[in-house]
Amino acid sequence: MSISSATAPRAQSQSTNLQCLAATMCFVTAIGGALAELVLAWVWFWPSTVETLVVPHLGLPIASVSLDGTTRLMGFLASMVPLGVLLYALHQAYQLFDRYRLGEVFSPEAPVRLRRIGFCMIALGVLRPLTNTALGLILTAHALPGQRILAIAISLDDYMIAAFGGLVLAIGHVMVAAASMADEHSKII
Amino acid sequence: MSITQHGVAAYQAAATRRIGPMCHVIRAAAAIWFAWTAIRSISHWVTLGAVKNSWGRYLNVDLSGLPFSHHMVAFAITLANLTIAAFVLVFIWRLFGHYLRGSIFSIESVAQMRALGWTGVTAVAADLIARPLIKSVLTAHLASPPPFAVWAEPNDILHLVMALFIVALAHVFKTGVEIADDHRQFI
Repeated sequence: MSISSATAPRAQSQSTNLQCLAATMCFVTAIGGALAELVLAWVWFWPSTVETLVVPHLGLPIASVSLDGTTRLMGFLASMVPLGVLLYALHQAYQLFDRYRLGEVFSPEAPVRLRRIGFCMIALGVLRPLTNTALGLILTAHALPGQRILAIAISLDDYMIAAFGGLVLAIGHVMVAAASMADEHSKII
Repeated sequence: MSITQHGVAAYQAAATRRIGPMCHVIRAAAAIWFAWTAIRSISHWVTLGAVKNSWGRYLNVDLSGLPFSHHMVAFAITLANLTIAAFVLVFIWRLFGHYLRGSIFSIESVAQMRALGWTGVTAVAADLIARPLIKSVLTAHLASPPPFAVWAEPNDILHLVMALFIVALAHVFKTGVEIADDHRQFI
């Protein structure tokens, strides 16, 4: 048996496995994005869900919070800012895995998309505490003077998301650097 | 030194120069994350009063009569959970160590990346199990302890997706390395 006939089925099997995984990831990212959007709309649509889910999460006293339609709409729009960044990251992940699903393992787009995902996650880590601060202000805007709340808190989760973004960004940079150096190396040889 | 060896050494030196600072930043960020997690957890759990107050509020029960032994068991569960987080740091450190040595598209670095992803998944699973376990231990002395129930929070799902993303990326890299290897043998 020649080397080519022994390795060709292995390579084909690897590509098939990768394509299955990539198709699953495409499905997960698409469903994940749609679900995140639906859940956010559901939370802000009902005053009771805002009261039970959002207000305790922000650590606000329920007495100083207003839950009328305009406040909830403003809250929804403010929450859409980090969600918009997350949706963009999920879109990039979808595009990345779609290339792999089509069998393009060494696509030059992959590191670019990885870096975009990394930047989005870093932005998300920064936007989450800022959005929570904005939500605190929006929900207590109708309260009496002295009862309005401006709270800024950076949680371990925000840091972890930003660190994950840095990790993905670094992997993207490493891929670009490796590809360009391999290219230079092959030219020298 | 032969021309090929010299070429490989130059390649690795160039790799370290270009991506070195970023690799060091990621290693430092991971170390800070773990230190922050460990200091926060341990400083919280060593103070019995703080545990009674915060967990009592979180579970909506009165934990003023919490026995010391139950407090210690719950602390041990937290430490076990923290150990898994330590492995996440170890695998990040090793992965970027490979990159610093210029071993980028190699089976070894891919294995570290896959281990990192699966450790992340394990850490999320451990979190999901640790929370109801701690709840059971902290409320075991009560006349009517709440039932055992596993619950997920939105952040758990986000962390799980992040860990699975690394697993998927490792699989892609592994396939890429093997295909490139096959092509080299074919040529």
